[in-house]
Amino acid sequence: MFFVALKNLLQEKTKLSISIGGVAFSVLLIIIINGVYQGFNEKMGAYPKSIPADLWVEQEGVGDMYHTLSFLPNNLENKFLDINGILEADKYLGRQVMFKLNDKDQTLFIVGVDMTSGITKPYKMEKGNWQELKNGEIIIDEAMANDEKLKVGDIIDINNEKLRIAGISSGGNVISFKYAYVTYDQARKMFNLGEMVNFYLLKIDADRDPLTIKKNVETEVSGVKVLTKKEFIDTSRKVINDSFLPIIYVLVIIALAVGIAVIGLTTYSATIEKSREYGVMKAIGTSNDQLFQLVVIQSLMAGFFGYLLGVGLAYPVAYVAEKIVSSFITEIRPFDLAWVFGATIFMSIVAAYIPMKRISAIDPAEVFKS
Amino acid sequence: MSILEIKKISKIYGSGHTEVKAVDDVSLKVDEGEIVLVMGPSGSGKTTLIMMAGALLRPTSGSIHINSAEINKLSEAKLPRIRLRELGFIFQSFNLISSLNAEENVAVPLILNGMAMKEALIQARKSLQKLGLAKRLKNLPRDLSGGEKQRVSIARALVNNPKIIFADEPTANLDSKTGHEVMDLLCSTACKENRALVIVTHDQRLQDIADRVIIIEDGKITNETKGGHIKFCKHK
Repeated sequence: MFFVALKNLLQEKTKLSISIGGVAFSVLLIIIINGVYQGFNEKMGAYPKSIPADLWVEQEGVGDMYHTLSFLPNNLENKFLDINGILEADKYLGRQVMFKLNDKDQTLFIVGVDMTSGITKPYKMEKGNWQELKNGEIIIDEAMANDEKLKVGDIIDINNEKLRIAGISSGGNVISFKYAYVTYDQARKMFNLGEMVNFYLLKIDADRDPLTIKKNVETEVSGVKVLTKKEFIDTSRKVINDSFLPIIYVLVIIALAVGIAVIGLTTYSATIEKSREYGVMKAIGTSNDQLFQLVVIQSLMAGFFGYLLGVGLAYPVAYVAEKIVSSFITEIRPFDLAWVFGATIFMSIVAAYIPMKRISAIDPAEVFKS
Repeated sequence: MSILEIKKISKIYGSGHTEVKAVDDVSLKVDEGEIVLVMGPSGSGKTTLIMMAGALLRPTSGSIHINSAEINKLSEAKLPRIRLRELGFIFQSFNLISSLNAEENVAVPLILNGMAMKEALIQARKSLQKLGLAKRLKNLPRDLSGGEKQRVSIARALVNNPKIIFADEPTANLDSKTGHEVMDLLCSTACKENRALVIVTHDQRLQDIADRVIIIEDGKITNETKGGHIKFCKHK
């Protein structure tokens, strides 16, 4: 039945194009929407993931570091180091800062870089050297540099604090904000932290169980909450999951429905147009099952070619979109391509259902009526 | 030996005051290699009769035996196989699959019967060559003349070696000369291969080719005569 299905499809090139185009559009939408979600999700956790700390200590009752502020006393390092299994304790200064640049609202997540340990160094340097960072200087993300046409040596004014751009980093473009890096002292000054820090980063003995040490820290030091690295990253990503996932689901369902409707309608109208021929095929001995196969194969072929076109388009579309809008970050993973392929097969089979019902109702005796 | 045996079949459409008896208590036997012409005015029930005999329509009463199997007792799921293996159909309006070329149209019953595509196409080519279409194998139906389409339709009906072929007004859409040629081909092929042929037609000229001519009026067989069967089937 494959060759009949193929010939039928190729005979109606306009319908085939509409069908393939519809599926491609649907596949493109699903891949891009999911890609944006995955991209945001990945970026959200990328910087904390790059920090070589096993445990993050925050103020008790604080959620994630992007939406709530954590304040801890500046002098807890020794308390942490007294706990068995903790090798290093570093201070982490970092918070969101909003300001105006070129008459546009800007949001940066400014991190104070520990110039000695380098534990909070930029994710990746593109220009300049973070080790040469001085007070009064800032390292900005390349997305911001590109958006605002900024370069090394330019001065930006962040809430009356004039900072010279000393370097350009990458990998810190996260949805609604971008990472930027200043020295500890500069951060302390800009955040008005006084004798406080935002977090502590703990490195532990590799042979020790992080969960046991986490429990010990929470027992020994009052007013703190300890998160493992994974918990901290998951908490950061939870923001994305909570706010975006329901929207992503709805959009993916809409895209699937568009795909099903397009293949379903084109296959159905082709079935109606060819109902006499299907009647002839029934008359000469084709069973309903064989005709169902034919319709499913046609639908699957339209789905398959639509999928290939959709995937082929997704990469350039994502690339162009990211060039135009820097916060449009997509990550297209092989796993996502696989499940979207599964979804396309599902779409094609569902779309074949109504035409199949139509075929089963065709009376082969009708072909004797001319 | 009878290849088709129809015993007292009736077909009633509707019920009560809208009831119409399209075929009324008809019995008929067709032997192997026999050519039977079914004639009658429009609405006389001849097409209904051929549809029932061709396992496309169930009779209201009576029985139909094809090659000794009582087809009216078979389930719907088994009837396509009977039509595929035991029967061939030739239609007034050719009814070829528009997306398939001549050889692919003829190959369809073979493929449905389980033959591999490549082998089916070889067989289909041979069948079409026998019918004088060697140069039209790759043509789509839209590029064939009426006579050529009907020859493709004949090849499709014959390709699975059915014991009996039903032809519904096979010359109605052809001019006189082409109709003559097509019937010559159909009958000579059927005769050579000992296939039974049941032809429903208004075409009086076809009486010459038949072994028997049956006249149906108001759903009943009203007359049965011997046909000429000499004009085309020279080897009988």
